[in-house]
This record gives sequence, C-alpha cells and structure tokens, in this order.
Amino acid sequence: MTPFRFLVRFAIFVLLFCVVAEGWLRYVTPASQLPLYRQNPKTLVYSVDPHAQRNGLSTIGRIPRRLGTWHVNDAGWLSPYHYSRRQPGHALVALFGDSYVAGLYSPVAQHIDVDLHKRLGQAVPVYAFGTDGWYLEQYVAMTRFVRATYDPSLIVILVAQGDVHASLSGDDMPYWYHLVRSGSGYREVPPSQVYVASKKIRLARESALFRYLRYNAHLHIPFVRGNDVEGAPTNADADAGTPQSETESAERPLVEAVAPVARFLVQRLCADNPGVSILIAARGSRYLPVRAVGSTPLPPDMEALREACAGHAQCYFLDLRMAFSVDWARHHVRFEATDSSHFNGYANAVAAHAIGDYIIAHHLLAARP
Amino acid sequence: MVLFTSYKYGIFVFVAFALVWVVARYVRRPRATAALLLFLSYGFYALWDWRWCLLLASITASGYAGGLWLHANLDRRGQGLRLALLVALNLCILGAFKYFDFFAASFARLAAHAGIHIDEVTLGLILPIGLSYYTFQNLSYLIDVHRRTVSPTRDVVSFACSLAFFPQLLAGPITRPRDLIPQFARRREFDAELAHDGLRQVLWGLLKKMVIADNIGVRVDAVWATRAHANSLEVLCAMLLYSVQIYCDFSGYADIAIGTAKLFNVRLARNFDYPYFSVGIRAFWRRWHMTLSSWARDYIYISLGGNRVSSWRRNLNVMLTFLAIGLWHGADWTFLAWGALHGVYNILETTLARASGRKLEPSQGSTSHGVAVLWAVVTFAAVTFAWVFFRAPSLRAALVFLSRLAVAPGALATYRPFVPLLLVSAALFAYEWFTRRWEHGLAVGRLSLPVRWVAYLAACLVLLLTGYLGSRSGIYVQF
Repeated sequence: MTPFRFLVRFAIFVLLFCVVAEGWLRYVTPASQLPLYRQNPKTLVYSVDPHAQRNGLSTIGRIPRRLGTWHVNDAGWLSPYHYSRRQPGHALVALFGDSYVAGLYSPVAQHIDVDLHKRLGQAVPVYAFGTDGWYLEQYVAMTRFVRATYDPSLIVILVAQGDVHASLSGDDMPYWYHLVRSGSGYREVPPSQVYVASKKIRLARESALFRYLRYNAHLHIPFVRGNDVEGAPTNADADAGTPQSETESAERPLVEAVAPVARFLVQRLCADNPGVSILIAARGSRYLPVRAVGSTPLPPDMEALREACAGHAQCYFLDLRMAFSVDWARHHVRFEATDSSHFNGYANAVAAHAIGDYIIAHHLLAARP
Repeated sequence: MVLFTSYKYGIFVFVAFALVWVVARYVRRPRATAALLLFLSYGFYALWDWRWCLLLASITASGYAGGLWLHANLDRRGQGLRLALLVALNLCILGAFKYFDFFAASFARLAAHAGIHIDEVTLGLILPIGLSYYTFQNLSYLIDVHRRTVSPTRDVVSFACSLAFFPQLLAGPITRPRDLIPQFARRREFDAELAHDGLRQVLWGLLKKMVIADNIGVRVDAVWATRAHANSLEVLCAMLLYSVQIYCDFSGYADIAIGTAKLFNVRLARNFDYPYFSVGIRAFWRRWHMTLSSWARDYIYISLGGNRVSSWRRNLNVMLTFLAIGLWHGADWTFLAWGALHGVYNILETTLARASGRKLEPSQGSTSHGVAVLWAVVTFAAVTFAWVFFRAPSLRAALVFLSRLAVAPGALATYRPFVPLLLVSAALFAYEWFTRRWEHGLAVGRLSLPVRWVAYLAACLVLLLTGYLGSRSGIYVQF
C-alpha cells in the first residue's frame, strides 16, 4: 500500500466516523440546540430569528444530558405565547432577564414566564424578553422598544449580581447597549455592530457534531470566531453561586462604587417608562439558601439598586433570596439545574410565585388606560 | 502549545506525513527525508518557543562534536576527563534551567537555619519542554561512545534527528541515539502495516489520556485542592485514582509518540509493559518508564559499581540511583522523597528475597500464583503510597493529605463521583490483563477489516463522548 492509498483509507474512515457521530448526536444522545440570534439593523433589537429553528432541545455535557426545551414565538422571543399590543384597560407584564428568563435550561412548561402567567391568572399575559448574558443597561434600552411595541402595564426585571457593573463594560459585546462615563455622569452608547449570523455559521449549526463540539464540549473550533456563533456570552458564572459571589456581601465601598451607575439606570428606566410600574427582583445565588439560609446581606450591585429604587415611587424592589430561603427551609429541594450554572424548573416556580405574590400584594396590576 | 491531544498536533502530523512521503517518493537520497524530518521537528519545537531550538541545537552540537572528539582520543590518556567535561557541560545546561533555583533556595534556607543570612539568587528561567529527555539521550550517546559500545556517527542530520524527532520531544520515550541513528540514516520506505498499527496505537493512547487520565485528573485535583477537609475514604479514592491517572496519562502520551513515529517508519523504544501487574518493586521498575529506568541502570547504577560490590555499597548505589531518578522528574523535595521511597522499597525487597532465598515472580519457579497475586497487590499499594509524594505540591501538603487517612469516612453520597471512575479503572485493568501479550491495547491487526473498523468507530465515539476534549497537559510533559 502506498502512503497516498493509506491517506485515502484514513480519510474514508474519518468521513464514516463523522456520519456515525452525526447520527448518534442527532438521535441517541442529542447535541444541544441553541436558537439563532439576529439583530434588527433599524431598531437594534437583538432577538431570536423566528424564521430559523423554532423549537429546540438544550443538553449539557460531553455525554449529553437533557436540560430543557425552548420555543421561539412569532416575534422572535423565547416564549410559548404569541405577543400582541396590550388592550386598553388590561394588564400586561413584560419580564426582562438574562438566561434565567430565556429559559434554555428547563422545559418550556417550567419557564418562569409560564409560571408567573399561571400565578397572575389567565387574563394577565406575561411576555418574556430574555437573552443569555444581558445586563441592566441592555434591559433599560429594551424597555423602550417593548413599551413602544407592546405598551406593558408592569415591567419586571430579574437582576443578578454584576448586572449594574456589566452595564459599564458592556461585557465586551459590540451588539448591545452599554454606558460610558460622560463628565460627572453617564451616557448611553448604542451597539457598534449589528449582529448577523454568517452563512458559514448557519450551515455549521445544521451539523449535530458541530453543535456538540461547540455547545456540549465547549471546544474552540478552528476558523470559527467565538462570538460569531451565538453572540451571547452567558453571565451565568457571574452569579453561579460560587463561594466568592456569596461572600461579596454589601460592603459599603463596593456598594458606593456602583451606586451612581445604579441611580442613573433606575432614573432612566423610570423616565423612559412613565406611568408604568417597575419591579426589580434580585435573585441572588442559587446555592445561597442551601448553604446559608438566613440574612446574608445583598451583594453590592443589588444593594445599590435597592437604594436607587427607594427614591422612585413607580419603582419597587424585591429580594427573591428570602423566598428561596423560606422554601429551602420548608422543602429542602435544591434550586440549581443539571448544569449547575442556572436555576432549575423548581426554582423558577418558587421565584414566579414570590414575584406574583408581591405584584398582587402591592396592587401592581392596577389597570392603566 | 501543541499538545498531543490538541487538533493542532493532528494537523501537524498530517502535513508532516504528506511531506515526508512525497519527498521519500521523489528524492532518492536517504538524507533528504531525514533533513525534512529534522526541519519539521525543529519547527514543531519552535511552535512552543523558538528560543528553545537554540538550546536543542547546542545540546546536539555538544553530543555530535563530543562523540567525534571522544572517538578520536579513545586510546589516549585523560579519556575519563574528556567524558566528564562533556557530561558536566550537559548537566550544567540542564542544571541551570531545572535545578539552579531549587538548590539556591534550599541552600539559602539551610544557611538561614544556621543563622547565616545569604541573599537568595535565582535565575528564574522557564524550563524548556523536553530538555530532560534530549539531554539524557545525548548523555547516553556520549557514554556509549566512551564505552566503545557505539561508534560515533559523522551523519549530523541523523544524529540531530535522533534527539529532535518531534514525537519523542515532549515526553520521551528516551530512545537512545544508537537505536535511532540507523533508522534515520537509511532510505525511508513506507510500511503500511506499521503505519496502520501506529494509528491504532495513537488512538489507544488518546483513549487512555483523554478518557481515563483527564477525567480522573479533575476529580483527583479536587480532592487535593480541599485536602485539609478530606476524609479517609476520599483520600484513599484519590490515591488509587492517581495511580491510574499517572499511568494512563504517561503511557497514553508514550503510545501517541510511538504510534506517530510508526507513521514515519521509525520505531521508538517501548516505555511501559503493564507495570501494575508487576510482582515486586524491581519488576515494577523493569516495566514502568522503561527507558528512564534502563538509562539509570546502565549509566548511573552500573557506573557506581552495580551489583559487583558489597551488600551495603549496593544498597547505597540503589538509593543514589533512585534519588537521581526522583531528581530527574523535578527540582523538589517531593520528588526526592518519592525516589527515596522507591530506593527503600527496592532495598527491602532485595534483602527479603535474599533472606528467604526465593524469587517473587511465579515464572521464576519457587513462588505460587496466590503469593504472586498477593505480592502484586502489595507492590501496587506501595507504589500508590509513593505517588502521594510525587503528586504533592510540597512535603507538608503530602503529610496533610496522608494525615486525613485517620479521619472517619463521611456520608456515602460523597463518594458517588468516584464510583464510575473506579469502575472504569477496574475495567481498564481487566482489559489490559487479557491483552497483556499485545504491544498495546488496540493491537487488533489480525482481526477482519469490518470488525476492526467497528472497533475503531466505537473507540472514536467513546473518545468523542467521554474524552476530555479541552486538552489537559500531560503530567510528564513538565519534566
């Protein structure tokens, strides 16, 4: 046998292996599927492409384990509901958040917007606007679009530790809004690039083997830029409940470092959404109730937000950690999903109930004209 | 970094394979392919750090010129001095990069204990990958020339290739130049059967390294990181698993190196022969890192007098040889402690064998299979205990780790993550027991083509689905 024939035989084997692996990762242990994002060049809204895959399965790990399912609605958001503009005299809740609200890590029926909708009643639609890695400035910018399009009566924003600080750095994402210092205050900077998934990426995503290597094995794939795939780094690790984030208690210097940004963002949020109630729900660490049930102080970003909210009548602040803490004490059911970096379906239900109870108790659904 | 487990290495080997065999096909001169292999090997080394190539070239020059110099003066006086000079030159280079900082710091600390303040002088040099391996290859060549067991080569390309050949550059095996030079000097011809077996061996090496060693490594690292809070069973599991990890890691790397070399029709020395089935420590060292242990035997132990001396002197020679082996792995007290432990084991075993007048291996007559199995278990336990010092970041850490053996085991759920790893380890050993006559675990060339391909596909799928694709560096690459 010549070296050339040896190489040909090797190439045939590689090809055969790719076929076998593709079949295995499609049907036996499916590779993770992630929604394809796109960005509207005019509105700069970054959402899922509804013309691409509409339903998908999230798996995790090298031996893919089932994590959750997702569905993209007509408007390009990860939600089982059809979105339409609020009817006058009716309530409508707009729910903002990162991967927690995107909900790729639990079955659709256990997503937080579904649970909140159940809690508030069938007459109150809950629209979810969430994407992995978003932070407070991006939520604030998106509320303008959501207000103009759907006119919600209540805005609920789920924040995590790091969301205020990340608004300044923009997490190095050129497709999203962020803040820069301007004189003694801050100024909003729109996205510097519009995200368009290349044909190469669209084609590569059709391959289960590619998706497995990229999403399950987290492998750097040659000739594919990291951001070109999803465009959305997750900030799950920032609130992953590591001991470090837990010990980041509300020390005054840390709170004061982020307080001006928090004040600026809350002020803008209220100014951009006049007459709309705003509830900021701080979710904390998913491990915290398990490890230290009780009264650990709020992390700095959240404490700064709590103080910023106190100065605005339309703005409310809810510390969700207390709900988790109480539930843990009663039921001893854990809150982390299989990937350890996100909340599970049970935690979604706990959070949704706490938010729902708060909304009802504070009459935040009072009808707007 | 181009580790054996990264896709970059695969691309590099593919390109090298194509180039070498095209040149071998169209250029008749044997040196042409050797020159190309040398160029590729230096290129491979330069991918890590181009400055290291200068060091490799210096060591090569000292070996090549030194060999000719020694040969030219073979019958003159002062031959020992000439050899000592060349050995010292090589050891100085190795010492400057690997040992200077350690000895300087230890000396300063020792002086401080004696009440003398000495400012610590450190060079802060980064240890070039593979330096220990090619320095030892070079030394073996010089000593062989001095002992007249080999004639010095005038073929500079083949000699340089024998030190720089890229598959063995990172983590050995320490194949001696006398075995490699003739392979590079002759005309290169493609051996399809050998190349096929090379690919199989690479696949087997990848399975051991990425599926077993790297997955175990994550768990063992976690226990070591929290050693101050670990309990006895966790420590025990971590000890057992580390024995498996280091074997699969190093032998996996060696299999990849040997398999890659076969693609170029080059045979590297075997480095492992199922060492954990050894009956006795001496047998273990004949089967573990065989190229280093035989190197130490031939060039240290025998140079010190070997067996042909009194009993206490022999024991001293054994101890010095094992301390040298320990120090070869790195400049740290932990490696010295590990080497010393193996020296003690070896002396104890020899003393015991002499006192009882029996050999341990059943093949050598007087020991039953039951006793041999018992000795194999004792050997494995002793080796596993010694690995604690090898793995520990410091002697204090090793003692802390071992002290946790006295802590009562905790809840059963704590051990759940260890169970699959222990089962996989047991399965590996069972498989290796049945295939122990094979050169490597995937030496299935005799099976029919469809059966072989199904086996390869299954192995590749296991690698894809359970392998640590994130490329953890090999343990022995750092030496």
